[in-house]
Formats: sequence, C-alpha cells, structure tokens
Amino acid sequence: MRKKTGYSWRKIILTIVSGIVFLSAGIVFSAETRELNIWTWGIYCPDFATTSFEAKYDIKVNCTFYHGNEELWAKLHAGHESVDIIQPSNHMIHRFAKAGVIEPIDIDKIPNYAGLSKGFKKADYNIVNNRQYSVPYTFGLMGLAYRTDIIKTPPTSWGALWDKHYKGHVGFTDLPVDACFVTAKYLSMDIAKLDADIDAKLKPIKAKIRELNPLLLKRFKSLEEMKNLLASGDIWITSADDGMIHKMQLDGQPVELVVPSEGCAAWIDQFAILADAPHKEAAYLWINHMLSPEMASQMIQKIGYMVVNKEASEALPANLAKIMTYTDAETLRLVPYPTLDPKTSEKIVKAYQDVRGE
Amino acid sequence: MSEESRNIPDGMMEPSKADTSKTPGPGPMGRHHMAWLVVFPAAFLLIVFFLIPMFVALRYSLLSTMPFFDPNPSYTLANYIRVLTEPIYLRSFTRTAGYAATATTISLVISYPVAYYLAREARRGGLILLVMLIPFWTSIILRVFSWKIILGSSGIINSLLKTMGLIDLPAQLLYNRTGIIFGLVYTYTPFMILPLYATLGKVPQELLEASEDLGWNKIQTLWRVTLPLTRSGTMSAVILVLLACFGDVLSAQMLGGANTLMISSVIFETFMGGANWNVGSALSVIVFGALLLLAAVLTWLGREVEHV
Repeated sequence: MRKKTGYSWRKIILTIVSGIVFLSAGIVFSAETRELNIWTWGIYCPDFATTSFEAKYDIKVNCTFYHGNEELWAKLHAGHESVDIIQPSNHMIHRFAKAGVIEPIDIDKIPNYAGLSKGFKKADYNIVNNRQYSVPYTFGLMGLAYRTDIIKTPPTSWGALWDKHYKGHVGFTDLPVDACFVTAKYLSMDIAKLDADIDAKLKPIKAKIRELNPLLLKRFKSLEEMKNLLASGDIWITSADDGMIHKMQLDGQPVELVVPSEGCAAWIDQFAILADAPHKEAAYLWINHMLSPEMASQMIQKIGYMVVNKEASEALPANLAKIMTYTDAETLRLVPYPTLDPKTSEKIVKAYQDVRGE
Repeated sequence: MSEESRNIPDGMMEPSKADTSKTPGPGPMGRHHMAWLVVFPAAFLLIVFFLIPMFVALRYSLLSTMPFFDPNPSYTLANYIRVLTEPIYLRSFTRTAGYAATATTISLVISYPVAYYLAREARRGGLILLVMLIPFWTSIILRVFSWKIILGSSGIINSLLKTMGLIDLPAQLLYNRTGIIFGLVYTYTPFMILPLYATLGKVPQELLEASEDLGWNKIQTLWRVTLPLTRSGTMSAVILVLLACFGDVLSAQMLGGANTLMISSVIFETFMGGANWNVGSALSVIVFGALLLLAAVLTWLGREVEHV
C-alpha cells in the first residue's frame, strides 16, 4: 500500500516538473517574435532605456555584457548568432568593418543623428572605403585621478604615478592597451603611430612599467574595483576613467580628475550593426531611441560619461556642468584611441604580461 | 555484484560465484546493457563538455592561426615553442604552484583535525559538518569579497590588532601573496574536509581499540594506524584542492596584488585580451598535461599499501 502511494506521488511530481519545463520552453519560444539582442558594456543598458523602448515599440531588448574591446572581438569570432548591435570603441571599427562583421550604417534611418555634437558626426575612425560603419554614442578619457584630502597639490603630469612618496597607494589599469597608452603618453610618444616599429617602442614602455611595479598596490580589473579602492583610501592616485570619477564626485567623495600635461587617450564608444543581424529595423529604432535628447540626458546623469548629443550636453544640471566640462586646453590634450593592428594589440598584451609576471 | 552478494550470508560467499547463472534476473549480457544505461548520462556529459573541448583545444594549439581568420591555417609547433621558451609562462606557473602548494598544506593542517573530530569524536558530526557548510551556499564572489572587508587596512583584523596596541600602522594583508593564500585556503578547505571526513569515518573502530589495547598511545595510534589507513583518501583530498587552487581566478583577481599574476589569469587574458587562441590553447594543453602528471604522481604516492 505504502509503495503504491509513493509511486503515484512520484508521478505527480514528475508531471508538475515536466509541465513547468514545457511551459517555460513555450514562453521562451513565443518571446522570440519581436526582440533585439545587444552586446554592450554593462552601463549602456539601464532599465529606464529598455522599459521605455519596450513600451514604445513592443520589442523585447536583451542585453549581454562584455568587459573589453578585445574580449568582444574574441567573443564575436566564437559565434554571435542573432546578435544585432555591438558597441565597440572607436578604435575597433576599422577592424570590425574590414573583417566584414559589421555593415555600413544608413544614417537616414536615425533622425536623431542630426542632434549629434559637432566633431563627432564623421571621423576617420568610423569611415572605411568612404562608408560610415558606426554611430558615436559616448566618450570618455583615461586620465589621472587622486584623493584631494590626501594629495594637496594637484598633480599635473603622468609622472605623479611614479612618485615614490605614494608607494603602496598607487593604482593602475590592468588592461594592457590602456596601460600602454598611459605609459606611452608619459614618454611623449605618439600613440596614433604605435603600429610602426611596435617592438622597439615597447622596450622603453616595459622599462617604465617595471619602475612602477613596486609602487603599485593593485592593478584594477574593473572601474568598480578602482572606485572601491579610491573610496576606501587604499589608493591615493591612479589612472582612471572620467565617468567613474564624476559619479564619485556626485556622491561627495574627495576625488578629482586631471588631464595630464602630456595628454591622454579618449575613447568614443559606438553603435554598430552586425552584417548578419536578424533584427536590423529594431536595431535602428534602438540607436535612434538612445540618441534622443531625453535618453541622452538621463544617461549622462546615470553613467557620468558624456553622451554625444548636443542638446543634452549643453543642458547639463548645474552639479554636473561643474565637473563634466573640460577647458579648451584640456580638450586639445585628448587623443582619440588609435586604430591598432590586431598583432600590435597582441604584442601589447604579451608585453604587459611580461612586466606583471616578474 | 556487491548489491546481490550483500544478501548472501557470509558462509555462502564462495559458492555464490558459481551460482550466479542460476539466480533469476538479467544474465551477463542484460546486466552489461543496464550498466551502459546507468553510465550513459555521466559519459555523455564528460565526452561532450570535457573530451571534445579538450580535443578542440589540442587542435587549436597546433594551428598557426584561428580558422575564422584564415580558412586554411597550417599546422605548427610554434605555439608550444613560444609557451616553453618565453619565461613569463613558466614564471607564472611556478608562482601559481607555490601559492597552490602553500594553500593546500595550510588547508590540510586545518582540515585533518577538524575532519577527525567530526568523523570520530563528535556525537553529531554530520550535523556540525552541514552547519559548517552553510556559508558556502552563498555566492563565492560575495564570500571572497567579504575577505576584503576582513583583511582591509581598516578591516576587522587590523582594527582589532590596533585596539590591542599590537600595531601602529595597518598590516598589509590584502593585495599580495597573503591575500591570495587566505582566499585559496578559505575557498577550498571544504573540499578538503569532506573527503577527509568520509575517509576517516571508514577507519574500523576495532583497529583503533586494538592499537590502544596493545599499548600504543593516541599519538602513536594516529601516526601508525589512522594516518596509513587514510593515506589514499587524504591524497585524493590533497589532489582535489591542489588542482582547484591551480585553476583559481577569483582569489587572484580580488585579493591578489599588482604583481601576483597567476597562470589561469594568463590563459584567460591570452584568449580574451590578446585574442591569440592558439597560444592560449597551447598554454592550456601544457598546464593540463602538467597537472595530470602531478595528479598521477600524487595518486601513486597515496596508493594503498598492503599492511599484512
């Protein structure tokens, strides 16, 4: 008798479980009718943007995140079925376009393109064979950040990172390309021409990073990690993206960002549509949605980076306007991330491994 | 075999061998098929998620470039030569080996007494073990992150030492070797305790009693009876933890310092940062081979020795 009830219980549970499985499978498949798949950085897919888009167009937005441009390059090659939009930085566009991964943009399908800030509309980095392959979205720079309550005289040069007074309290990026750009800038090299004779150039860069090694507390893997270390006072001075510092300043943290006298690299993140994207129309709708002044405005306040929409960038709230605008002299010191040969990138990665592993 | 022989009285053990053909139920063939059915899910998982990827990595490691960059890549040993000749790879491998060995040793020293107590002394060892494992139900990232709070310059340990007047400046426990080893020991000690608990529970009580009856004290009994009897189980636990430490990425990245590059991070970066999957694959294959060899040697060292 007992055995019998036990058996039927098992049957009931089995029925329920398989029911749930079939039901959820049904939901998954039915949801596939109108959707948009985006591969992007973690910050570019906030709820306010996706919910307003979904409400307006009845298209489900799925975002998947990556943490680096090279990671995106590698992941795309491992397979990118049903991905529509990617958001590489400016210096990757030539590589993606030449590899046939992305297709030219039809600007007419993006009415809000007209509202882009001057100087961003067409640039070397997004034109290949006279065709535009990407739309700029945000820009940021890798500058020098420090704790204003600990370091009283504002640093002006990248050399401050190499200052022995700060030993054990220096942070530095763990991303090879960023580390290379910072060091090359400090050594007054032209980072736009790193492809030429990279092996010879990497020698002084490696030597300089070796000098930095004993002074470092940590190489941060993510900007969140940098923020935590800076906020806790474990690091006093570090290479840093401006957006994260702006957010810390809004929170009332004693931090400041400077554009060093040697200049610094600035990236411009883009929108690009994959050549084999299954939902191209939805992709254009999303890009247009994100470039609208309202979305751009909300986005700037959310991420601390400037969205390249003229109206939004000119109408910053007072607290943001104070910290987010750069002087003309500072703007002149910014150099867009250069388009590098994949082989150069790989050599930079290897060089940075060499100096970190000693 | 064992399932059925359990029902047979002791005296029947020997003749039962000859009797198997007479017992009703599936014959040798049928049982063979049943065995395959039982093994299939595990074998399927291993083949699809382990063996096939391993061969894919092996193939990539021998190619000059990835098939998606060049549809007709040539076969070469250049990737292996690079991995074996460039000092960075060997250096991060030996550094990782050092961390892993230290963490495993510390973990063993902590775990053996704990497992011994739980398996042989405690009245409700199983329950205590369960309670000990409760923290491990939370996300590993969260748990490793919590070590930042405990070990940080204004963390619990440093505040305590400061209040007690033992130190003036905070001790640097994070972002260096110490941090990584703390992380590794903490993360993998349960994997040491569990197999040790199982193996220590199996030591027959009669042997321990006999040892004491014959005049050995507790320490002599531990040294000459318990340890030899649990040698192979202990070695399995050591291998498990050692290999897990080798593959660790989280502790190294979250608690490690600026100059504590570990081999798994190097492999990850070679794939993701440098997009050189061929060198990354060669590196994976070599590390895999080295660890396989290490595990084989340790298993051999821990093999059951006939005592009689």
